[in-house]
Amino acid sequence: MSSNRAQAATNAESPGAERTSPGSFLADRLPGLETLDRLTCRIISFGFPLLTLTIITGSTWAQAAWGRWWGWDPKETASLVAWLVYAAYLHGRVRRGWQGGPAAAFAVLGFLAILFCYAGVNLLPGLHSYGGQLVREDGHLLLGGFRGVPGSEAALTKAFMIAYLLAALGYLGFTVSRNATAGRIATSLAWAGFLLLTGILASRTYRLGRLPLTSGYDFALCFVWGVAAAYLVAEKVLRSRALGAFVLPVILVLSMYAYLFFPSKDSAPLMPALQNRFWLHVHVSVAVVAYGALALSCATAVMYFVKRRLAAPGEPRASV
Amino acid sequence: MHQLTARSAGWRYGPARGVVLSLEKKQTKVEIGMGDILAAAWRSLQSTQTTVYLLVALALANLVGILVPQGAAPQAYLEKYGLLLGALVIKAGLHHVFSSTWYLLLLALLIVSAGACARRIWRLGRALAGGPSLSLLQRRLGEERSPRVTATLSGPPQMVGDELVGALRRRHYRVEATSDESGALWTVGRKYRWAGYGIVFSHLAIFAIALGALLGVWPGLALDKMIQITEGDTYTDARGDFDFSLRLNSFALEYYPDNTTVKAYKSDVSVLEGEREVKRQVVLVNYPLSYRHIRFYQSSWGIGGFSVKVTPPRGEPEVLRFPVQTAECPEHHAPLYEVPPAAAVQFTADRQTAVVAKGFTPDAEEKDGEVVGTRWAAPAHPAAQITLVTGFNRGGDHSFHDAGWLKLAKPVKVGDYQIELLTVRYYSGLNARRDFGVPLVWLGFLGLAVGLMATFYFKPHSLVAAVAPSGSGARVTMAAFEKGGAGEEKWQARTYPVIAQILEQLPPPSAGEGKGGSKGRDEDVK
Repeated sequence: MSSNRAQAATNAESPGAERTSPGSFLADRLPGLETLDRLTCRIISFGFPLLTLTIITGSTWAQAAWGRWWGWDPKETASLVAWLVYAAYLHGRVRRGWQGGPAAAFAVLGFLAILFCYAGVNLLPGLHSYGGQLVREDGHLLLGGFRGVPGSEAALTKAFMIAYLLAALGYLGFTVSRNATAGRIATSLAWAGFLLLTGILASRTYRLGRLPLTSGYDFALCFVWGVAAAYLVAEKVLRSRALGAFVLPVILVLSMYAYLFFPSKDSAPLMPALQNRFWLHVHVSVAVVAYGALALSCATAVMYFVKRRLAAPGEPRASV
Repeated sequence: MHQLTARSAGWRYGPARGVVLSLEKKQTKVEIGMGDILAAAWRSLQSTQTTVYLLVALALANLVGILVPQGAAPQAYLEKYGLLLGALVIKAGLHHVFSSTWYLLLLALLIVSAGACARRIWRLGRALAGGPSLSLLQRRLGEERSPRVTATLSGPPQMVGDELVGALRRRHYRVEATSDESGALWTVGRKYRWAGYGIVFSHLAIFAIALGALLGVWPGLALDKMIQITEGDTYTDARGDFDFSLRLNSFALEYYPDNTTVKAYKSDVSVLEGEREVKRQVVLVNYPLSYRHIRFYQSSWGIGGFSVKVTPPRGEPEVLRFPVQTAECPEHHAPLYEVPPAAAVQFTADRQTAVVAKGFTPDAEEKDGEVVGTRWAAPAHPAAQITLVTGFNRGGDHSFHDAGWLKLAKPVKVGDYQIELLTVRYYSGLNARRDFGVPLVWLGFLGLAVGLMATFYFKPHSLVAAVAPSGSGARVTMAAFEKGGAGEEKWQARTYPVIAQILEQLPPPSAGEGKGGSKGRDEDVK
């Protein structure tokens, strides 16, 4: 089924094709459906063991801190939901029929579960509640700002966000125009932004004397770093900038989330439960890489849907 | 190797559906016994499709467990969701999803289904580890559509073959070499065979974790108990879950420089066997006290009581101890404390004077001349509301002296008496845990981590090469195989360096003859 669609896409690419609607125009500029499908699977295959390791290390730590390796805390449970969704994806995939649409849908669902585990759970009470305080005692709404960090770091953060905004535009421009210069500029901007972010994290590490992994803002920055790193690695490995237009916006949204929803940008002092440096570092570092990879797989799955929709607008949905 | 293709075809089947359908057909005509149903159910559990359904169902169940707050009093659900929905939540057990029968059943089904698939998983693991057989590889290499590298090299076939084996060994391949009747030398190199069993380990791990979890809640073996000890007191377990005692020597809160964030909860605990102290340790979160297979984890703290010093006009000062207990108040986030009525009145030793404690707050502030408690739970500015009653045992003409809110270390003169809030005593909440399942869970975690990493990061694959005489030299045809097929890049990364290594070892090709490292999907080179 998907190969039929791929066929339709190649037809559209041929010079004689009449169809030049903006949809098919954009669809031509995306990788093939099969490629996207395989890519999603490859990235999930990379991320799933890491997600498992995240849960395992968290569990081991919980045993050390609280004496129970599993306590059905909302964050634990949400991570299990994500794990189960990805496990369903991988099991479904073993049946060869399970490709394309359903697989991509599970990839997206899995990442939604990750996002829920990451941010949604902060709205619920639990052991992992590190959410920022958005409303002051007097009811005044607190959004954005750079309270609690030195001016130099605030400036770096602004530069980083501008770099990524421009990089996102660059990738979008590249995807539409296929202009190699636009692509190179976008990549340079993405690297510049990534280095700036690494610098910010390094300066926070220096100020704290440990990795900045404790406040909500800390982890939001690390999450952004993870996705950015995963993207840059993917661009290098795949030698393609095709994912950029889809991943960079995700990075932008996450950075805006970090900027807006954590009015205090300071690192929180370590709560007693977090005072276990070994597990703190292992658990959160693995989580950062896993989240980064899985964000990427979500982007490729979304690309799959976009491509399918644009390439064959009139075609009835094939059941797989 | 026919087995592998046959088995991988087996993954596609949906025996569950087929069986259920035929059952439905039968139902109208033939009686079906319990055995048939069980057999059909067992076959259903063996299908990957069922596994996917179970995983999704479990994910949804967990989602419910997150969205519906767990473990509150039934009344709370009626208030939150309204009568009808609230009653539904309670009836369906959604307020304790993770201990409800249907959730545990779902979990058990998933584990049983893993068991039902055990044989298939084992075979798959073995097939993955074994790799395709030589005969299949030979056939596949001959197939037009399989990608392969062909190179004509100068040098006798035997020498090229030896170099090939050497190159593969240097790249950590397990090599098997043979020749056929046409004189061609066949070499098969296999790598990461062990990783094939990763799938077996990761599934076995599920059983270990499940068994460990079961042991962790097994009545009689497992212990999970909250105990509270007030400073200076000794706790002896009334139910006899352990026969030693614990004394809380002191409890302390340590703050960060901002004075609001707690840095540490420190319980100085002694273990007593009879009267003898056998162990003493400061228990912190992350640093439990371990004694005789039981671990005590710092889990909560609070104020257990306070003491008041009364100094009569004549005679020695006396210290009276009052306990406090928390009272939940929905408006307050911090606990409210009250003195239990039964212990609110305490007499001095001569029974002439009574101290009545009416209230207690860990953090008092004055508002419009009145003392009120803040929301702050830590005893920063503790205060106790005290009334002194004097003149007992003197024929009933006792008198009341309201001392108001006493503050720490601020003695107050009441009549001829001096009275002072002397100390606030903490209690420490320790969670006593004995869990023999933990090592099994660790083993499961290890199996899961190693198994998944083996499965996804190390693909067992085979390289097959045929070396045949060609003119004065030898022609090498080589291909790489992996279950599910490897991508182009991976494929090249595996074959090209081997060819390059052989080339390095061989004498340079004579003019116009050799050409290495070209890939032909449908035709080989020269």
